[in-house]
Amino acid sequence: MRELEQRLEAAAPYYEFPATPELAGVARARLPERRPRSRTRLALAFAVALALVAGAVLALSPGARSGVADLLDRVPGIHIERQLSLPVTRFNDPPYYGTPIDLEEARARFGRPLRFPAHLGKPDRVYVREDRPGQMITAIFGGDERRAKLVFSQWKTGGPTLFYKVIVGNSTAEFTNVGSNIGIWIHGYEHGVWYFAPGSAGGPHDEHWRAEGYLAGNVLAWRVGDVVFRLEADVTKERALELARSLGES
Amino acid sequence: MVGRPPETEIVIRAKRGDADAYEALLRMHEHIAFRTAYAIVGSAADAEEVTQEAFVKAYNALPRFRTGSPFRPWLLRIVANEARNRRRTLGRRAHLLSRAADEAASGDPARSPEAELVDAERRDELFAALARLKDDERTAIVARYFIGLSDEETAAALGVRRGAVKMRVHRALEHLRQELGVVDA
Repeated sequence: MRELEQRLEAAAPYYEFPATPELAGVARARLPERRPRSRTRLALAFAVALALVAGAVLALSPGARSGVADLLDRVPGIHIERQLSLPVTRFNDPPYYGTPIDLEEARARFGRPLRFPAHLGKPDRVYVREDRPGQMITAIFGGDERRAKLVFSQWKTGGPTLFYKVIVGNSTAEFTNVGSNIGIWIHGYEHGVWYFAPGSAGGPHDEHWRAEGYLAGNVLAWRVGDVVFRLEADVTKERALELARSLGES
Repeated sequence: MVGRPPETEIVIRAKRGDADAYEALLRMHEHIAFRTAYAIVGSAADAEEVTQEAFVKAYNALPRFRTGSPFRPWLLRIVANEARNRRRTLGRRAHLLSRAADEAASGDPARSPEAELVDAERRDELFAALARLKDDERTAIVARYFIGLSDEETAAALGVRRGAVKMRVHRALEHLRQELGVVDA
């Protein structure tokens, strides 16, 4: 160790700090009254947060809408809009997919046959989100903990919006046909996705949920009957469609 | 055996409005919080006020604290922000002249009174040089070497990002070397 650092370390015990006064007890006496949050208040807070996210997405730059780019709710559970720039927010990486679950258990819980693109093999990880009506199962193929190579989600229609998407810059969103079904292809260097996630240490019962965002890659989303599928990967549109058409039951 | 609940448990209870839990959290960190405030404002009375004010603010901000994250750096950031605001308000240079202890710790029978006297003089010289540094540089040295804060906590005390801490400490050490005329290889 260098001389100065040695001198500092040797001097540390002699550096005079004043005695620590009583702080915790005094501060406690000054604390404002705070009632624990009730379930009603929690639900209200959740609704307000949802409205804020929707508001931010819809009203961030009203003059900047491209007019034809509002692709509202054509695929249930997804709301898409073009903006000049992404709202300033905290981007989470990796995003919250839900609770890890065994594939067999996910299959049992989903209430519909779980379907996956052919030739991908078994997913590396499977997650379930049961906190929102519609229940979403997400399978991760390849990649690492931070960035999956391919993310494949499926959820039942009839629930609320699960993803609020904002596309900017060179990103594009277009309708496309997936077999006889309508789908949306989102392509570009980035688009922002907002969704609801619990606190880091919590689960669906944690009271501190928040809207989170992350930057997604290319996405193909389409609906078959009462189930919506979403495939996210760094692939071309042709490859995404090929994967979508290969959907089989697993 | 029933031990103290893990900090995360206490944080969760405090977030729900449990004042006992919050007080317990404060007790765990009040000592280091006070010293951090003192390192910034340079007066015991101001440090006490600042720390108490920060503790109340932290309570109000607690619902936004991310459960599972380390609590101490988060708390120290609030304390340090409050202390820096106070320092700006006071508009004066903090006085951190510290004296060597009246009674130098002894206990080493091999050391002669003369050697201890030399050590004490060197410490006085070091503390005097430290007092001549700019506020932020002195805070960096005190936080790192005398309070023993981590990188993240030192960043909180300095109000900079974690990545900038090394550079700040390095610069403070360089100026201290110049003040002392120390030439480290």
